[in-house]
Amino acid sequence: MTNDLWRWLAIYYCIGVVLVFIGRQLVKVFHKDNRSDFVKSALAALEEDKTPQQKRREFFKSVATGSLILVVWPFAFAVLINELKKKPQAASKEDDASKFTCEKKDLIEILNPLEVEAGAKVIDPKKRVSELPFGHLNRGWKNLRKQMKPGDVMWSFKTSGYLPKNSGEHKGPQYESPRNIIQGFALVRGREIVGEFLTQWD
Amino acid sequence: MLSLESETLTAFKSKTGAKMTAQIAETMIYKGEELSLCDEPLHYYLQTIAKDLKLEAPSTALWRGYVGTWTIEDDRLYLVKLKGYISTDSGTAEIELGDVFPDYPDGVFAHWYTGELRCPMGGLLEYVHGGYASRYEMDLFLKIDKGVLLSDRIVNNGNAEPNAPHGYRINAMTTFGKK
Repeated sequence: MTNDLWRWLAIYYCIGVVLVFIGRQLVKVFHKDNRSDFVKSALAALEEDKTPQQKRREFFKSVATGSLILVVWPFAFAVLINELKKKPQAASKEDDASKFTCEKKDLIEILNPLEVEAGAKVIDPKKRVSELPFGHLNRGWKNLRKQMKPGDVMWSFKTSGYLPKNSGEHKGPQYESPRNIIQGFALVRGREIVGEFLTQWD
Repeated sequence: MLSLESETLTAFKSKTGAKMTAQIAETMIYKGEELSLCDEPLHYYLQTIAKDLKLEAPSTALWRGYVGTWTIEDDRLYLVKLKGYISTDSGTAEIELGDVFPDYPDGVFAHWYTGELRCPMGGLLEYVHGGYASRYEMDLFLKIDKGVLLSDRIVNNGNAEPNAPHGYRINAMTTFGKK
């Protein structure tokens, strides 16, 4: 009976080792490391900074995690397969969401692009700015106009920013107004924001 | 103005336990005085208009990859100098203001900036090894609207110890090797 138990346990762990190995290869195939050489070198530099104590702690953490995965490998393998299945979709959604600074709640009013352009001249007595609409930002405006298709609507927008907390124990800088307020123009197609041009920020 | 106590290969842990590094400040010349500017008025320009410029961090104290020198002249905010680092096929190269604004190598009117700029001054009250979070005796705030200075004000944050260091400082950073 005991022998049978040991044999089944050995088979269980052997299958676990094989499947964990296959899982690792699958992760390598489906999740290529797209980080640039610079990012890799920066992370490597930070890795070198770790103290021996931190390195030891991470080693023991890895050993503990590996052992746990081997014990509960059916569950770990199911989670891995599930993650591999849904990852591309989630990533693309995330990319779309992070594409624009402006959100629907930030839209203020519909504007006529020709009128916007007419009122966008920047004047500087020292002539340290281009005379084109939106001065140094003209390229961004041109890009937005290029993206505009029939039926698209141009909106002005302003993000609400955030007010740094300065109450209680927090002793951060005493800014008077909210931070990270960004203004500009957004292109709306159907009900979606498809382009933006930032004109003011802090 | 900027004192680097030690360019060690040690990244310290912040108070929150997160690993980060205090950042080298921009430079602000205001009323003839050279101050540290703990804001980044060029940030979104580089994120949007000049996004093709692949800026590279030379160290953990300069993740943004550049240092700009700003000035207020006749109540207007100008970017007058820039030193940045970009990655090229042959390695890392330095860039100047003229590389970002080819027609204006001597100065650029920062008409895109609306907000408050913070220049810390005086003795160090509390050193925080992350971002621009260290606290100094005073903060000079410059309120800007579309590149035009509206007002300035000084906030007193307290008195530093008599032996406290003066001026914006970074205590440690990790420098990346050149490719």
